[in-house]
Amino acid sequence: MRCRDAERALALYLDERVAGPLPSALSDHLVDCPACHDEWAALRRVEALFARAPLADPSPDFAAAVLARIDAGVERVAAVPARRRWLRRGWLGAGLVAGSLLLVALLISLTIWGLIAYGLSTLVTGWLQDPQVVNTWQALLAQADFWVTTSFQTLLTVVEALLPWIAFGAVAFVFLSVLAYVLVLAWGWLIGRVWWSGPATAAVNGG
Amino acid sequence: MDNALGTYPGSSSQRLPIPAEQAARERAWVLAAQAGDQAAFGRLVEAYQKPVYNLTYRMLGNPEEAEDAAQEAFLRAYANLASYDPTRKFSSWLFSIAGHHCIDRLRRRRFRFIPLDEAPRLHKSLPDRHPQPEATALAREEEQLFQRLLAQLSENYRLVITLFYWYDLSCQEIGEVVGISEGAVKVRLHRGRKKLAELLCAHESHEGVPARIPSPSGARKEGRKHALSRC
Repeated sequence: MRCRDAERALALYLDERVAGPLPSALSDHLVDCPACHDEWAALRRVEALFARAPLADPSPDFAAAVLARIDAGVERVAAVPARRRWLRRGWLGAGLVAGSLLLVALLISLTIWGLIAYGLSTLVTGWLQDPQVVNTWQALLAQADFWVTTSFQTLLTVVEALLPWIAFGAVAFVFLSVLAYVLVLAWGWLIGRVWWSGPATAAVNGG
Repeated sequence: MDNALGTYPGSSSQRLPIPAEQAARERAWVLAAQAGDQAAFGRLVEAYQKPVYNLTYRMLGNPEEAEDAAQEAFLRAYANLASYDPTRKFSSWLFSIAGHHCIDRLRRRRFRFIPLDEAPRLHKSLPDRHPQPEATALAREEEQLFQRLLAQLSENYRLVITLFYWYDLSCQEIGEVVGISEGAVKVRLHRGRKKLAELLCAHESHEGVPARIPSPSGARKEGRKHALSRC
């Protein structure tokens, strides 16, 4: 028997709560293999700890306390108007509302931002490429130093080169806003799950 | 060496018996409670207070919090009685509520800020309801150690381990309580046991308890990684 098989056989033996001796193949292996023997010895001590562990007793008035809390809880639930109960239940609801608001805000800002970016870029490039404008500028610039012309052309190139990036930015923005929306939803859910608790009422509401 | 191998050391007499013989009476109580009879539910509470409290105590490690959690588990059961399917075992259903409630509490605990000087309170042991002679001091110490080891298991493992060792539930029944497959129960049991054994070894070597005398055969395979070979 190999060690891996021995480990499996040991687990099975413990899982089945067998009261008798170990299977002979397993005990033979344990005699031969010190490492597995040590493991078995350690597991046996854990088992012995479990066997000796006392049973925990609740306090004598436990049942009475539960019934008292049921009485108190039933009254409290009856006293809570339906509308408020919906609100209480709803950190998830709050998360949804906040997330939707954020999404709407993001969409609006995205639209405005996109329009401005698109408008500006077409306006600027269109204007810069307009022959009349170009002529005017070039006429003006003909009189200027050489570096001014160069930088003007550079600017033109840069703006043109940036166009795909602006498009990419818009796509990335949409993607990020969707991601943010999902995160807000998840956050709302997490908060609701982890923090929301109102002992008795929560329990009686169905948890 | 042979006698060191021995047999299964856990004695089933220690395990908590689930009142199976009460099945008929229990069914009547459940039906009455579902119909709104609070006294019948009180009977169910009395029948199950000990197992449920033991479960919450083993899960949470703190008697006061365990009592509160056990009460709350019963409240939840009461509130959801209508959704209880009588073809299922009532005890499994109840343990499922209690166990998941404890896991919720433990997860919430992680988000709560606990001042360092208050943290040990979480490991306080059972209060002394029945004062006993000095002889039990050792047992109490062991109980504290045991509870500390249990507390170091992750909550999912702790639930499976607790249900296995204190309740006469099969792996399949534990799977139904926890909501996982029988195979997953076995995996958690195996890993949980191993982790406990490692923790116990680490504790003993830290406390200076002499390690096990090396076996005379002595042919230790040093290359193989065995976390427990020191003990």
